[in-house]
Amino acid sequence: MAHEILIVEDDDGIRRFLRISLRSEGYRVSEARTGAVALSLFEANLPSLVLLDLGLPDEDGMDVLAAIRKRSKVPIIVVTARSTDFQKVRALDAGADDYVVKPFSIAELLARIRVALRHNAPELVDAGVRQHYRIGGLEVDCDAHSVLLDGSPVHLTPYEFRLLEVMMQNPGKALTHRFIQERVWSHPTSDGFRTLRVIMASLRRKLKDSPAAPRFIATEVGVGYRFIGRDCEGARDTGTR
Amino acid sequence: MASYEKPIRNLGVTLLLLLAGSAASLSFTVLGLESEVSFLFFIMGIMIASVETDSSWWGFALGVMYLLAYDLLFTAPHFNLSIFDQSDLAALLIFMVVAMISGSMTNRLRKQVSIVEKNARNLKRLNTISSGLIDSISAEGACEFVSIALGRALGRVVEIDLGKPDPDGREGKEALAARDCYEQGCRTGAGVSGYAGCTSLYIPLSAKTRVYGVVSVDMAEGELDEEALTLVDSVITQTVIAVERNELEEHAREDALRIERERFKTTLFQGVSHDLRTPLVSIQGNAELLERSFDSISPEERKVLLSAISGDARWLAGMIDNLLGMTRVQDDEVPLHFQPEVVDDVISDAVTRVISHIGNHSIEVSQPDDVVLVEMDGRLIRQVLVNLIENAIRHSEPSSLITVEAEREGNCMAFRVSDNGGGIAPDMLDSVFDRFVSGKPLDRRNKGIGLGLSVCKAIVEAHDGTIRAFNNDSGGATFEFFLPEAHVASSVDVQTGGQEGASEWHTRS
Repeated sequence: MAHEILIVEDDDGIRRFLRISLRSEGYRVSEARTGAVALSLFEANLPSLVLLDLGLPDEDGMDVLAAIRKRSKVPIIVVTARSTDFQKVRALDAGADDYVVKPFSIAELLARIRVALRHNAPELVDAGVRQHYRIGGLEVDCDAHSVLLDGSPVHLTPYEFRLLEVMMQNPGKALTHRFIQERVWSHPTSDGFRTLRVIMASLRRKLKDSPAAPRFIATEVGVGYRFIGRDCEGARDTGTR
Repeated sequence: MASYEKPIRNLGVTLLLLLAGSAASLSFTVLGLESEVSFLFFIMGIMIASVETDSSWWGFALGVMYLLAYDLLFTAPHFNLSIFDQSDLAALLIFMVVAMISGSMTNRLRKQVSIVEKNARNLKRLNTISSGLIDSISAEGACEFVSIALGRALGRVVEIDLGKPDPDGREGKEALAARDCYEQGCRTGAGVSGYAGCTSLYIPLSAKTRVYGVVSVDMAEGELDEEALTLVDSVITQTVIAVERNELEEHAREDALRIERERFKTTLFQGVSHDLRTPLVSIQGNAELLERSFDSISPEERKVLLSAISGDARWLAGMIDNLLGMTRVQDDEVPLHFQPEVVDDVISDAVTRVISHIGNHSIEVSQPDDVVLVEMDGRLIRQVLVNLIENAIRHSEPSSLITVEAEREGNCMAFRVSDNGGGIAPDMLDSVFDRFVSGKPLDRRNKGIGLGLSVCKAIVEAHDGTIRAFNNDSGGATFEFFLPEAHVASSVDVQTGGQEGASEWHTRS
């Protein structure tokens, strides 16, 4: 069954490019130029995913995001302009699943669409939280709190473990600091996420994630982190190297 | 002298002269001189009395006392007062006239001396104020200085408002008087008809037809005398000159700044325009070529052209990043967004961004031993690292090794991007961070307006850091920058603080 994707984008050129790329990947496409049309199309077609440009002419893209979120859990990927981090964070915290920044590479976008669709596959949603994870060279047993990296055990502190768990439960997605903070510590912070950053850095060192080519966790400065274990996509296009 | 001291002094002087006169008269009689000599002595005494005391009446009183004394002591019958006869009365009259004349002459002299002294004092005050005004660097500063100096000279509160007087801080009548003074350019307030009830006098700071402000003088202690008014006028003239001069200087400064900014913008536009066109020429050319002759180009060639198009587009995007970064740092109105960032994270993000066009270079990253947090605008520092790495890619030999390292040195965080392929010409080392300076890159495509390194410098300096370039021991160049002490936090402090709290919550759950 081909998924349908709703494209909400006011620029004709970008919309055409998106339409052609998505169709060539086998998706069905519906298009809206304004927020109002987007909402009505959404109600009518119930697409599997929404691509939303935050810079719409008639309404604030954030309002459209909120309106769709109120009605449905459909995955939403926002398209933002290059310069503002805080826009991305706001969108993610308001319920967007992921983001791409203009100008973006089509490979990156397609990868993120795949991740978002997989996440929301009905089988996964009903399955609940998993007890065992195996991604890349990492094996995690949530009951025993044990972690194996390429076969050798890794000793993590309780918070590092919880952090890894949260990342693995949301593979491929951009996770804001706030999102992670709330799931690991279940309360907000006033220290600018210092503790979170330090513990994350310590976790990455234990997972031997090299800064030049991280295996598991990628940083998005100003936004948050993304779990990019080898079996899942959503990583930034690292080119042919 | 206190008020009771003067009469005592006057009395003392008079009595002394009386004594002297009597003694003299006695000696003259003993010596056998005529009585006229005594009288002449008396006149001298009266003159002295009028000069030394502050009123002619003391002189006259002395004259009366001399006569009585003379009458008492030297005329027959001795030691008793006989009635004044005609000559006595005449003498008395003459004494009075003498006393009056000498008294008034002395007074006039005294007055003149006091006027001269006052003038000298005022001149000195005016001089002080003028010298102070010459040193003023702003109109506000000048007015502030003058209000204090004038206040001190007049012994009253003096305020100077530049521009329209602020109605707040003044009661209704006063505010009205001040406003009228400014708008009509004439004196208002205390003592001026139509402004009954005002406690201050308002004088305009004006020259020709323009009113710069209002001077208000507190009149609660009484009117200003003529001397004070003259001083005020002279000071106001000086102040207006100083205000005008400061305004002219201000305009000149602004003009110079504007010219500099325009010049920078023009150079920037020219450079940017050229640099934006270059990749666009390639993009347009390749795209049109593919459009027209798609079928007659081999698949391999097509791939090359398409890859060139996307490469050029990515390069354009990178250049826009740099321009935006530059304007963000230079715009005083937008403060930078400082947050504690983990050094590992910033480096990782930067390297991941560049890895796609690393070509044949190899890249090595070395992190600090501990997890270190540094307060910084993460996106901007990431851009510095991206620029430095791309600079290394562009300017060093195609297969060189590029290393990125960060380590704590003292209380600073040091970042270094080094390569081992070539190095920088020694004569360019000093100017490598200037705007619009580009070295000789190895690939024509990678020429830039040389904004990249100057953006790095601007960003690092906005973090109170320093950046420099030098040729290293491996035959290449190293770019290093330091982010200073205030921004660096030890992860240890954060860890212990965090973990303690963490274990608390853990047990609670």
